[in-house]
Amino acid sequence: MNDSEIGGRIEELLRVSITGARDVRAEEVERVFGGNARRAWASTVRWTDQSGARRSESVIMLSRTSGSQVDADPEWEFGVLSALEHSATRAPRAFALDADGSIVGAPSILLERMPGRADPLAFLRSEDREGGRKLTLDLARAAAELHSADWEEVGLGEILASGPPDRSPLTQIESWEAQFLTHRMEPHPALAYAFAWLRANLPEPARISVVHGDFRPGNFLYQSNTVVALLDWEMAHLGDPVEDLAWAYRALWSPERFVDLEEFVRSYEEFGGPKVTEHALRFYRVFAEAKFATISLRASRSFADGVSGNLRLADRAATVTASMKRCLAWIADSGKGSAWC
Amino acid sequence: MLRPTTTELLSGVRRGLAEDVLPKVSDGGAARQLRAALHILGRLERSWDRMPAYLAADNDDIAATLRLALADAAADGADYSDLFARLAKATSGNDPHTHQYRVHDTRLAVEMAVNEALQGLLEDFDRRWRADQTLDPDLREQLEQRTLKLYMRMVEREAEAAGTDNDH
Repeated sequence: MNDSEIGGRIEELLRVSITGARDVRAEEVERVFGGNARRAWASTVRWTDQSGARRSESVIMLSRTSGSQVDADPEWEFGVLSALEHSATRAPRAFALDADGSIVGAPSILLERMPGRADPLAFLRSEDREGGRKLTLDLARAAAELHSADWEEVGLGEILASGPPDRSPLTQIESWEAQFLTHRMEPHPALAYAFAWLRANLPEPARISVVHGDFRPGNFLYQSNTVVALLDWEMAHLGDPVEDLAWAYRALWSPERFVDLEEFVRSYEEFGGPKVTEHALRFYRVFAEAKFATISLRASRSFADGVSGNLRLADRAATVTASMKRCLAWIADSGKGSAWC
Repeated sequence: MLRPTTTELLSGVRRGLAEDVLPKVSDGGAARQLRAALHILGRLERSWDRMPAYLAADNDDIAATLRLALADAAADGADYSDLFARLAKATSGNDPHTHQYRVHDTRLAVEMAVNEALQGLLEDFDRRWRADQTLDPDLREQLEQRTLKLYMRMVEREAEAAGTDNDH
């Protein structure tokens, strides 16, 4: 797909997605960074709606690339964002979907482009401690808002529930374990053991919520020390909300230099999030490492099989040891230490 | 000796690419690819020669731990004769599929095959004894501690061998 053709594809996508849209124009089309698994273009689109009024929106189109290290489906993300539009969650509006890529050339989604930046390093390495602290605490508030959303009322049950909702935390373990078994290039008995431990120690969730699934610095837009929007909803699912908190504090992207995990969790509870037990937090910290390790193995496999040429994926399997060291230490300490560390 | 050594070559290539090529790459995607390649070269520079010692130590440790654990389970009445047989086969070094690792040193290829076979056996043994409710509770606790400690040693060794022991 040629960058110069993208404007026309965005126009076509909007024409078929918005009933009665005419005189559609995509202007100022610009390629922007879309992560390891997607290509992204920003644009300003203008069209005349059914009532004859001229509309203008800043949009971003995200298109899948081959060799992704996660199972991701734009149709899923579109459904989640469309439903969340009617909740208090900080999520961008979804305008259009090209599920099979017949218009854009690859499965794609067209979203509202919101202000702010997503740069995780600028946030995590900021010298503005007070600003970083405010932003981290606002992230706790954004998590509490998301996890308080009534997913049944907004219709997310139909999209996200593939079985009984109270089984969804176990479904997550099973799903990631299945991916590990499918994509590994060698046995990895320590990771197999970690999944067995997870299945044997599953906590009772305080609540079943919409879980973002990739809730971390880099996946939200921020401006003036406030979270403007949560991004990248491809891994959203129903589950135990503690999963998002543990993922946000993985060592690689943890904002703990601004707010330690214990304070983050207590703030989250004060903002309306459900009570977090130490067992659940430890469990989901182990799960986060097992999940990250699985994503890493899948990434390396994708490169080794020639499915992706992205060199950032090539050596991802080497990161598994750091994940496993943390995993095993938390398991060894279960029942005798704190999960806050 | 063959100078420059592999480490010296990797280091020189990495430095040349970082200092002379990367600053002139203006395309964002190409620069990201080059930075990723430099990262991999750096890791190889730190670790490429550690593989033989790592595999030998890992194989010795897994085989010794499994031998002991299988013997204890057998003494408690468990029939793990198939696992004993697999252990003997794995450590014999007679795997005919060593070409899959695409390494030129035959001894290294054999150590790799032994390691893969032992890791697979360890995973199967762990799954098997955990499902075996007839084992004595004290033995189960002993196996729990023994396997967990083995995993911790394996991961530490692997991190050192991969040059990722200081990674987060």
